[in-house]
Amino acid sequence: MRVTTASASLAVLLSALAFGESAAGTVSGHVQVEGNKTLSNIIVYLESPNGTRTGQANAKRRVSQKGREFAPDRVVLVQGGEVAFVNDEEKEIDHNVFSLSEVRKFDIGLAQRGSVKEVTFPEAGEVKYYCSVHKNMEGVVVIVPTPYFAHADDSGGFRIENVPPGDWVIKAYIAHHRYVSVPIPVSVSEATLEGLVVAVVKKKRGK
Amino acid sequence: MKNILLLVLGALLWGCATGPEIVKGKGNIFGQVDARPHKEFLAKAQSRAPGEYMIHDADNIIFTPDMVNYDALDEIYVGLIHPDHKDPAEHALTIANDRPSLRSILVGQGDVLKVRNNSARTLSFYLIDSASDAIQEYPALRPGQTAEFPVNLEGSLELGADEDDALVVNILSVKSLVSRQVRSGGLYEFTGLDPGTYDVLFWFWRLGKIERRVVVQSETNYRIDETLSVDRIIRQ
Repeated sequence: MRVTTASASLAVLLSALAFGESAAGTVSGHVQVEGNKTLSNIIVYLESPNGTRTGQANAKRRVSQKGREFAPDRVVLVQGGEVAFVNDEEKEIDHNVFSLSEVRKFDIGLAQRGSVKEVTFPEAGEVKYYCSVHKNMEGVVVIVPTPYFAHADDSGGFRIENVPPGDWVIKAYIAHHRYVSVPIPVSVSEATLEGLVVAVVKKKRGK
Repeated sequence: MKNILLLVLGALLWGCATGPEIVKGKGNIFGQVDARPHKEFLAKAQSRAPGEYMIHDADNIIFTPDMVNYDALDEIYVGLIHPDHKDPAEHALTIANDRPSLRSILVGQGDVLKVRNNSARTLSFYLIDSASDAIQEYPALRPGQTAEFPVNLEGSLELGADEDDALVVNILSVKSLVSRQVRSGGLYEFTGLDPGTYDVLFWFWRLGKIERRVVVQSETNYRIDETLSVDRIIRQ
């Protein structure tokens, strides 16, 4: 037992040294929308400056289909993560979840009551999906590149904890496609970065 | 006499089945388009396994109100693509109670959306290509106003409004395209076509699109039938 504990401690130490994660930081602030407009479904996330994927995919997310509804109908997933579409209907109701999204096309086939169908999402972005059987079943998977993200609250506030020290870029996913966030480069240390303002502006014409 | 009448009737029916009237030096493309459920759903229904649907005696599926009624879809589009198509078309859209009269429109790049705002509030419309963030902005439309919005962008677009993120119309904009809106099981036709190569595009916003290429020769009818379904469009 002692050998095992020592080995585990050494592994943690080596891991911390290797990744420089001896002291993770916290990033917090609020989202400021152009014109002081109130927007829902804003997810603030950190991306590595060179755009590479960083960190582990989060735990598998579960989407229920009970009552011919996707619940939740909007999930946030870390790139490489997995969504389990669960047919937990109480009656013999089949579903067929599919997506035509360029980010992730899929068709899980006919899913009978009691079935669980898993779909991985290797690319970051937004994936709208539907049930081909039921007309009101629509959902969205938002895939972010790192596990360091937070939902902005009703007043626009956000707080992202356990951020490894280093250089990052703060961005935001906004469900309203008219808007986009202005990226903010930050350098995270063990200290907390507070009072950041993530500007969300209307996309401009001309592209 | 009876035989002659039958022959004439037969000839007329044959004429209908073989396509529109031919004009000298021109060709026609016509056909039928429909949508159907996923093939696995069809197989289960036809095996009469338990489900929320009902099966009619003739093996027809009766969809419940919660289900997508594939026999009644009325926003299926067929488009014809040819470089010589230049005349812009107009597509009517009405917003009432903050909801659009259509969820999708297939347009030719350069066509015009004729939008009427029957909502109680002013709406500021925009057209966006989410893949590239290219955007077109339109003047705000007050309640009761109608305006014409040209579609300059190309691709899978969204017509949205600043004031409401749930108000979205899917716009598929394709260069040099003329479109027809068809009900599931309905017929379409493009007539008086000069000889040449055409692409025919079949689209239902929720099921995606299928393209077929046709080389039209003069004084010839080409029948292109197509079926839209999830399993035909997405192949993993």
